[in-house]
Amino acid sequence: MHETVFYVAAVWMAGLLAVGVIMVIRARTALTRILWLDVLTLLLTAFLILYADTQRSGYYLDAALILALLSFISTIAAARYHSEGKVFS
Amino acid sequence: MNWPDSLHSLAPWIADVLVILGVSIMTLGVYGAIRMPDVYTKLHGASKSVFLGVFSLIAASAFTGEREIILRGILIGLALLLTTPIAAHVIGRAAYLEKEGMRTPGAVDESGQLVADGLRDRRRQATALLWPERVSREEQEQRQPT
Repeated sequence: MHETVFYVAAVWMAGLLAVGVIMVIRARTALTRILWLDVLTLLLTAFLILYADTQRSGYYLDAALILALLSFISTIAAARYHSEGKVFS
Repeated sequence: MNWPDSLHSLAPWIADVLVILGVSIMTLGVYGAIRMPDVYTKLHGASKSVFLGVFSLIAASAFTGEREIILRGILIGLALLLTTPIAAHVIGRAAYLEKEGMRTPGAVDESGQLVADGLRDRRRQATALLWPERVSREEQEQRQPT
């Protein structure tokens, strides 16, 4: 019963990931695309957390942590490069 | 863990409620980021709601009772708590530096550069509805240079 909730939530999160990929492809401006990539990594983090709960092992959370930190760096680099033309001032 | 028995049998139900809450909040955040018309309003759904959903899922994973999951969940929560507002701020700042237009009806822009041209009249009507004195002040400021 309780396992089922986690599995259904993981499937639902996979659907949200598909929506995020479609919106990354369909985005009109580059900044919207950067924003949707940020959302996509957050969704992937949530998916990994749910999957780690169903498997009862913490190793998936390492990947989730690294993904969160890398998405932060890449979002800042992409947005700053897009607006100012350079990443480090 | 040394919880009392009633709490121990209650923990999976609390985890279920937190998972359902987190997934619904994330769905609402993604829908808001699709629905909103420009980058500034998309950021509301994209950063705040989706992050709150992830935080609720982390709180749900704490009820599994495994120590490695709880500690790594605390680390992920702290990292997201520090990095998500900064990323949203950088995206908003980039949009402002690029002079991306505000397409929201009734958007009030204090710098006067971002409102899209087609919506200037609708924005003026909305501003006149909400703050009549502001519209008159803007008209006075526009008349002064001539």
